[in-house]
Amino acid sequence: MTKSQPSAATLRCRHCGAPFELRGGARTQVIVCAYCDSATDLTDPDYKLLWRYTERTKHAPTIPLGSRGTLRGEKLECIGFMRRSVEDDGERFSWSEYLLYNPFNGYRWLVEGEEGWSLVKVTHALPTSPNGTLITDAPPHASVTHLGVRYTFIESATAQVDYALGEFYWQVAVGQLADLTDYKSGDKLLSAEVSDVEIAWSAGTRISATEVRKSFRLPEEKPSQPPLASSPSALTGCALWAALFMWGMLGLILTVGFSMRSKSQNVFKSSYEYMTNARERSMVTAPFTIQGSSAADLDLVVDTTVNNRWAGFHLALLSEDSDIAYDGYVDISFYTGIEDGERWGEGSPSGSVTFSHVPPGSYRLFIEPESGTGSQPEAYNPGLPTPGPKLFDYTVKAISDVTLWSLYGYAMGGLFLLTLLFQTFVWLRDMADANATP
Amino acid sequence: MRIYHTLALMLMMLLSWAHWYGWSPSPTERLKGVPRSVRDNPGSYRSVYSHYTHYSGGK
Repeated sequence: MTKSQPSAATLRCRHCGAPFELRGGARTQVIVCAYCDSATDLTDPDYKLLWRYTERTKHAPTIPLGSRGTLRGEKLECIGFMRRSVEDDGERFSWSEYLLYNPFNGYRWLVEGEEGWSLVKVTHALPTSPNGTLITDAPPHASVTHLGVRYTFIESATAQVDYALGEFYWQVAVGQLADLTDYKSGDKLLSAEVSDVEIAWSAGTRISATEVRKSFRLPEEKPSQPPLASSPSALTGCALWAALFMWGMLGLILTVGFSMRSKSQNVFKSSYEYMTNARERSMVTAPFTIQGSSAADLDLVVDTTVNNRWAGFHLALLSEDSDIAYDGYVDISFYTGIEDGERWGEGSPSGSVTFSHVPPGSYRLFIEPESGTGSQPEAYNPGLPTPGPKLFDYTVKAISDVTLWSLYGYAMGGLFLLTLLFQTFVWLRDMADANATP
Repeated sequence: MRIYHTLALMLMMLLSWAHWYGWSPSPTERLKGVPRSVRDNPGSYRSVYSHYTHYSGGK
């Protein structure tokens, strides 16, 4: 460059007007705008536009421009990025190159390819041929020796610049061609780049992605194709079922806690006979007291000796202290028989109903039983003796402050349905991702 | 997963409320305004379930 560098505050892209931030010092010849990909020639007195990049696809560098890091003991700043490619058997193979700069030590390159990363710097020491002659002509050679290390030839190809961003110390241009020859010795690399005007040698070494990531504080790289054993479906599916187990245990602990707190007191118990053809079956019990400091659930349990018939009990808990009544119905049916020499049974001779939030106090129980063998209860027949023979016995018990374990069952059912719903969503999402992946 | 845990937490809170306040899945009714006359003469009470018709297929 023949003229002094203007200040960063005044230098703007000639195409879009975005400000340039020069990081590479006085040797920067070309700067490619990060916003519009237009290249400005900094060696030109008028800072003319070299090109406007028209392709819509932008390539995002793994190391953002302006990133600083310490690599192999050197503090470096990423000032340029380019994508290059070679053609082999009709197929293009691409890689990325990052231009790093240290004001005291000069330039370095980080090359990101399919085989990983390598750290490269231009070398001014020319390699020698096996017979010790300095190599000044264009490669390739079967083997070369550089600084005491013998390198063997790997490959030669013509590389093309496909994309450029940031600052460069030469007149880079999209479409620019250079003949590359690579040599290798273990982890060490030696490359020759032949352009129209020069042969440039550079030496480098393999470097791990982890070291690059740590040096420039890059985020962890997510795998593009997760292994089958830990597919997103399996991980999220397992997490869902584990969460179901955890919440189920919590619900169980809650219910056990409430169960331990409840007193389950028997506050009433009385036994009766159900007679056929009774004129009036309903009755009201003597008062009984439900004790406690707060309202609680009350279970009314009816145990019968019915067989091969149904029995229904209208039950009402009438408060003597207020105008509240709790009304419910217990439905019982029990059938047995012998078929092919085997006894069978269906239904249960017992049933219960729960009244919730019953406050302590004095109550009476209203009981109205009915029974039958068909769809309707057997009605009173004034033509028959009343009452007739006994059909069955029944006992009514009232237990206050009970814990309803069925609530835990309902909660677990709801939790299971919720888990199934989320699991279905995960499967559908993973199927959609699998179909979308090329 | 956050939505799942939020919904599960709400379910547990509902369970706790049902245990504490009292909620029964049984078909029952809590009636208010039962007149004094009925409470003084409980035999005159008629259940709201008096219209309920039990059906059993029987064997």
